[in-house]
This record gives sequence, C-alpha cells and structure tokens, in this order.
Amino acid sequence: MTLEDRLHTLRSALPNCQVVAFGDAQARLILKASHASLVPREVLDSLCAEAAECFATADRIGATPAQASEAVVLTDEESRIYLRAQNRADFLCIVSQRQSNLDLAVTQGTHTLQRISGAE
Amino acid sequence: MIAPRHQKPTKGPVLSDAAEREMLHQLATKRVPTYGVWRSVASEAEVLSEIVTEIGETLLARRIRVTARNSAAVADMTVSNRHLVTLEGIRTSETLETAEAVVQALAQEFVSAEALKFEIIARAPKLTHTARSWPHVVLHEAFQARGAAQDCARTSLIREFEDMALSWINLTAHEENGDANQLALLKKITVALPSQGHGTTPLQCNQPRLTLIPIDETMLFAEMCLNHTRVQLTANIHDRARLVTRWQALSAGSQTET
Repeated sequence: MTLEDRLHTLRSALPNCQVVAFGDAQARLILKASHASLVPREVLDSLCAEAAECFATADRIGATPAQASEAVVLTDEESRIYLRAQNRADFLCIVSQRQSNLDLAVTQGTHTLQRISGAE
Repeated sequence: MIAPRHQKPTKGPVLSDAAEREMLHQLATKRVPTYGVWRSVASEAEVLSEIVTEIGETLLARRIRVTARNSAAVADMTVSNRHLVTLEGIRTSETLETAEAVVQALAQEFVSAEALKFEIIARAPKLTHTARSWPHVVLHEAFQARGAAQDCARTSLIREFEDMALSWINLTAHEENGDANQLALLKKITVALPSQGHGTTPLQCNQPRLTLIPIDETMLFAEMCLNHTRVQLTANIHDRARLVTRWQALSAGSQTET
C-alpha cells in the first residue's frame, strides 16, 4: 500500500474528515496529502507551521516521549490533530469538522502513522 | 414671499450612539466600490459587518448576490433605501422575521467564509409589496448585540477553564494562580513566546483557538485564545474531554444562538 493510499484510507475511515496530510516538521514540508476538495498550498504550509509550533511547545514543557506525539488544536470551525512519530520529525495531520470524534481520529491516526513509519 | 425665520429644524431618524458612531466611521473611511472582487474576511464579525455595511450603503433598489470563495454559501439580497427587503438563497429552516434571525441566518450561511464577493445582479428589481423589511440601523444593532452576547459567553468560558485548571496564567490580564512548579512550567513557554527562538512563528491569538498537548499520563497543557485573551493552563488529563466538550459547545453556540 502506498503512502497516498494509506492517507486516503484514513480520511475515508474518519467521518467529517477533510484533510489527512503527512509531513516533516523539521523540514516544514507536507510530503503528501489526501483531501476531498482542493486545498491551497498555503493552507498545507500553515498546517505544517502549526505542527512545528505544537511540537516545539511539547518539547519545551518536557512532555514525555510517549505523550509528546499528540497535539490537538480546536477552532470555531474545525479540529486539527497532529501526531508525531517517536524520535522522528515525521508527522500526520488530520483536519476534521468542529464536532468530530477526536479520540477516534487520534487512535486511527496513530495506527496509520505507525504503519507509515514502519514501512519506510 | 419671505420664508418664515423661525422654522423648526427637520428631524432625521433616531439613531443609537453606536449606530451614529458607525455612520461617522463609515463617512470618515474612504470606501471604493468593490463589486465583483473578493473581500477578505477573517471572522464572523467581519462577515456580518461587510454585509450589513453593504445594506447601509445601498440607496437605490438593487438585487445583490453575496458569495463565499471557499464554500457554496450564497445569499441574494434585495436592498432599497438602506433596507433589506428580501433575503433568498440561504440555507435556513428558520422563519426570517426579526433582524436577529436575519443576522443569525447570514452568520450561519457564511460561517467558514474566508472571502466574500458582492455582485449586483439586478439594477431595478421588482420590489415585493410587503410590510416587512429590515432597516440597516436595526440590522446593525442586532449584529452588535450578537457580538456582545458572544463576548460575554467567551469571557465566562475563560473563567470556567481557569476554574478547571490545576494552574493557569492569563497572559493578557497578567494574572496567575496555582502550584509554583506548574506555573514555572507554564512560564517556560511564556518566556519563549515573543521570539520563540526555534525559528517557529509565535502562537497567534487573533482567532479563537484551543490547543491541547498532553504533558504526561496525568496532566495536560492547554492554551486558549479567545476574545483576544490568551490563557495557558495545566489540567488533569481526565478533564480533557470536558475541556473539549465545553469548547465545542461554545463554538456551536456561536453559530446557532443569538
């Protein structure tokens, strides 16, 4: 299964999921993304910047490695989940509608990230 | 014939202070007609302000279509003499009777709009003979009241989150409360905020936002940006669901209640 397939499968499995993206927080680059409608490059770049910001905050407060892999950002309109592979800069970003099931997204996202990281 | 010297001054419409201030502000602001081009909007208040201002500036009868760039949202407004005469095209199950209902429907329709476009689709539309229309002043007041109600709900939520927290720092009000060690932990982030020093952009606080990051198996870090107030806190990890639920309820409320 390709990276693109995995991202698409995850997006299909999560209700109200708009974007699933895989990127490198250190390089600040989204490497691949799956989305229903067209998402401008600037939006993907801003997701990458926010992921880097969240992980930098997690490192600064000394979050333990097992827990540092997760950050959730909620706004008026959507929820954004960032999951980072342990000791790696790889991260997965899941953007869903405001009232989506965060726990389901975190669980399924972690599973997908493990598969992607393991496959590489 | 000589005109009478002591003629009574002509009376204009009675306006509230806020409406008068808004009108003076509009007079002082040079506005270029921008039909057919995208106008960026960053919040619900900006969306409503654009639409209500457009109504207030339309004297001759016009049918105006409002569209959003990033969604299918659309509203067809018939406006005449600074009155909204009809509002069509929006997806709402509510009966539009009061100005509050109109403002609410517009807010809901353009909830995720990042840019709006106004187009005149008819220059002399047939006006329906109805007793009901919504004057600009009344719509403006409904818009202001909606903003005030939201501010109040948001301020309450900030207090609620501070009560739920183990420790918190309100960076805007320069207040703090809680355990010294946890406050020291929060200040590590606060100190890093202005420059960050890691090549990252400082956390922005101009849009409502709640960030949750687990610290360990018992505690989480949260940062809330609301009403231009930034609060950082530590909370019990078991309160995560409660924080999320309250936040989502506020977001839902801002889009469904007036």
